[in-house]
This record gives sequence, structure tokens and C-alpha cells, in this order.
Amino acid sequence: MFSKKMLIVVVLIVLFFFNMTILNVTSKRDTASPTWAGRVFIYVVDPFQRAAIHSIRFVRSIWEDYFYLVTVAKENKRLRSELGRCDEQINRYREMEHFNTRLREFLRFKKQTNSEVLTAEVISKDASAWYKTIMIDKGLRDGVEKGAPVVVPQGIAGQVIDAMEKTSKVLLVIDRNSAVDGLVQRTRARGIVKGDAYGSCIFQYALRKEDIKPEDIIVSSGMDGIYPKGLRLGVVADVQNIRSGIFQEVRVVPFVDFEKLEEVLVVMHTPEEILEDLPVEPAGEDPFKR
Amino acid sequence: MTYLVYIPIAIVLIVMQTVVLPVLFFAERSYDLMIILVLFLGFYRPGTESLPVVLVAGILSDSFSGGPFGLCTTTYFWLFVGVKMLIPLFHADSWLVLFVGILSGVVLEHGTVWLALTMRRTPWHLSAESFRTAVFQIVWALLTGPFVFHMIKGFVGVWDIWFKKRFGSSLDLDEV
Repeated sequence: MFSKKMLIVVVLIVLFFFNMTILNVTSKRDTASPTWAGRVFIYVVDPFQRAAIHSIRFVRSIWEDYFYLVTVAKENKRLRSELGRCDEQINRYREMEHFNTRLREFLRFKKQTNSEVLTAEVISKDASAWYKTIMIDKGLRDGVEKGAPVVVPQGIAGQVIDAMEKTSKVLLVIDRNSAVDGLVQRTRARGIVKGDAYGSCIFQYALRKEDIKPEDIIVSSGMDGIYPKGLRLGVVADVQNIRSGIFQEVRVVPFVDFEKLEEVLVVMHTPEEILEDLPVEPAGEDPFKR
Repeated sequence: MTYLVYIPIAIVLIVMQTVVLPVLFFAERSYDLMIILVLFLGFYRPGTESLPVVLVAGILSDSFSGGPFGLCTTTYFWLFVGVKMLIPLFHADSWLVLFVGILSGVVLEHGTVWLALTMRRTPWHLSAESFRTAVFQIVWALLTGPFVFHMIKGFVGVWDIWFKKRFGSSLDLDEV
């Protein structure tokens, strides 16, 4: 009655409508819950999916960790470099801060003096360990003259012993060749402050009868015609009264820390003038507390 | 015994479809890999042997799909029927036929989705994004589908050789 082809066509048409009906029904369901057969398939395939995802994640984690480590190493290198730059910058800022502080002290000191002063930077120190001199970056063309006193806000640093075109050599008060006419601020006892080449000074020629005690402040007397009067030199560390002599031996620790000398002031004119309102207390650290 | 070869293939394809591709590449723009298996069955395997596999593959895909149940089964079934009806007219090993088959499969699945959405009376329109997705799937299927097809064919061929040595009979890939 029907040919085979006709039968196939009829079956397919029936199947098509059946399929559309099923699809229509399932399409209108809110949830796409699988049938029991679907659940079985999910149950069967689930281990493979887990194995696959774990394998992929494992491989990916190794891969990513490797790249992560490479990235971290690169970042570490970059951060170290950046840290180095930051340290350098912080150091520069600290230096500027210290420089600023020193300049402020210099400025304050300048205002307190009647003399004209010139700020100079220490460019080198004595090559020999036996002498205490420094080189400053100001010379004849800046108006620096031989014999000009060199001071810092903490006190007297020394005097110019050689002025060149652009630089000058300064003999520090701690050099054994240096001598400054000084007096004890409290008792006005006079003497000569000489360097002992060991970082401190000796207050010489102070008569035994003079009342000198430790922690007395020694200032310049202005009588030597070099240093202005009243500039601080140092503080008395200890006093030795030698019975046989007429003088007492006084060791003086300078206020100026010569190891840290970076900028100085060169007093331009002969200091006949008197420094006014100089601070009695040390502006810097107390040498005894160092 | 012949189903033993298709079940692992179907599982591998569904795992690739649901796990590997979404993790490694892309999920929403990947075409249905099971279409390639259906095409292979339509091209090379007899209907009586393939039809259960097609239906199982459809149910398998439907089980892992969020769409209406039967959507994939419908697609695979009618794709398989279409191929079976048309393949006697063409050469099964032709690349052009393979491309057309892949293209038809992807388009048919999109059509079935559209049909299901229409039946549900879901407000739906062809947006630019869905159009891009469809085009991407078609292009991606045309580019990679033939490789998947020949991988399946190769695997079945290897299985055939092994099966023939072991049990003395083969799947006979030339059988249509």
C-alpha cells in the first residue's frame, strides 16, 4: 500500500510533530530540570568533568604561579630600585633639612653680629693628621683676607691663614699652632686658648689665683686683634692647679664640632667691633653630653 | 560494543564543551561540539547504529544545558536525519559537504533555540550581540569543526583497527 520512502516520510512527519509538541511542552517549563536519563548522564559525566576541571586548574595554577613568580621577581627588582631611589631622595631631603637648619643658625648668627660675614663651604680637610686646617670655597675674589676670623654659630672655628683666588685655608683653633686670646666669661680671667691637636684646647697662662671651674665658658677677649670679642670658644672640662707654677692648666672642650664642620662664616672686617647679644648657652650640643 | 567508542567521544566532547573551553577560552561563543559527532555518525555510520547514539548525545547535551529539555536532542535528531537523507547524493569525504554540514548544524541549533523561545513566547529579538555570537560560532565552527571531525574519525579508525584485531570484525567506516 505504502512504499518504503512514503513510510519514512510519514514517520518523519509524525516524529516532527511529536518532537515539536515535546519541545513546546518543555519550552514552557520554568526550569530546565533534566529527566532521569539526564540525571544518569550527569552522574556518569560528573567525575570526568571534575577530573578535567581539576587538571586544568592544577596546570593553570602552576602556569600562573610561574608567571606570578616571574612577575613578582620583576616587581621586586623594580621596587628595590625604587626603594633605593627613595632612600637616596630621603637622604637628600635630610641633608637639605640639616643644611637648612645650619643656614638658619648662620642667619641668626649673622643678625647678631655687627661685622660683615661671608658664608663659605668647607671643601676639604687637612691631609695630615697632625695639623688641623680646612679649605673653604671662598678666596680673595670673594673678599677673604689672610687673618680673617672664621666662626660658626657655635663659636670660633679658626682663622684664615692663606687666601687664594677661589679658596682659603683656615687654621682651626684645635691646631697646636693656633692661639686665641680668651677670657672666662664668668670671672673675666684672661688666658690664651691653644689647640692641643687632639680635638680639644688648653687655656694657658691663666693665673692660679683666678677662679676657674669646670663648665665655665671661655669666650674670645678681642684683645688679639683677630677675633671679635665675646665669641664663644669652649667650655672648661677640667682645671689643674700646679703647686709650683704661677699658672693653672685648664683643658677646654670647644663648642664647635670640627668633625662635622661643613659651612663656616668668614668675618670680613677686622673685628674691633663687639658682638652683641651673643647667646650665653651653647647653640649646639653640650660637648660634655656627647 | 560499537557504543563503547562513541560514549567516550561524547563524554570527551561534553567535557570539552562544559569545562575545557569555558576555562581556557570562551564559553558563550563556542559552538556545540556534539554537532560534529552527529555529522560523523550521519556521514559514516548506519542509521540503526547511530540513532541511539544521537539520542543519547542529545539527552547528554540537554542534561548539561540550561535550555528547554529536548532542544539539543531535536537539533541532533533532525540534523542526523537531514544528513542521512542527503548524504547519498554527495561524497561523504568532500570538504565542502563537511563545511556545509557544520554550517547547517550550527544554524539548525540556532533555529531550534529561536523556535523554543518563540514557543515560550519569550520577548526576543535578534540583537547585535546575539548576531555577533551566531556569526562567531559559525566562523569558529567552520575553522575548527573539520579538525574535530577528523579527530573523531581518526579515533574511531584506531578503535576499528584494534577492535578488528581483537574480535575479528570492524566498524567499517566506509559503511553508510
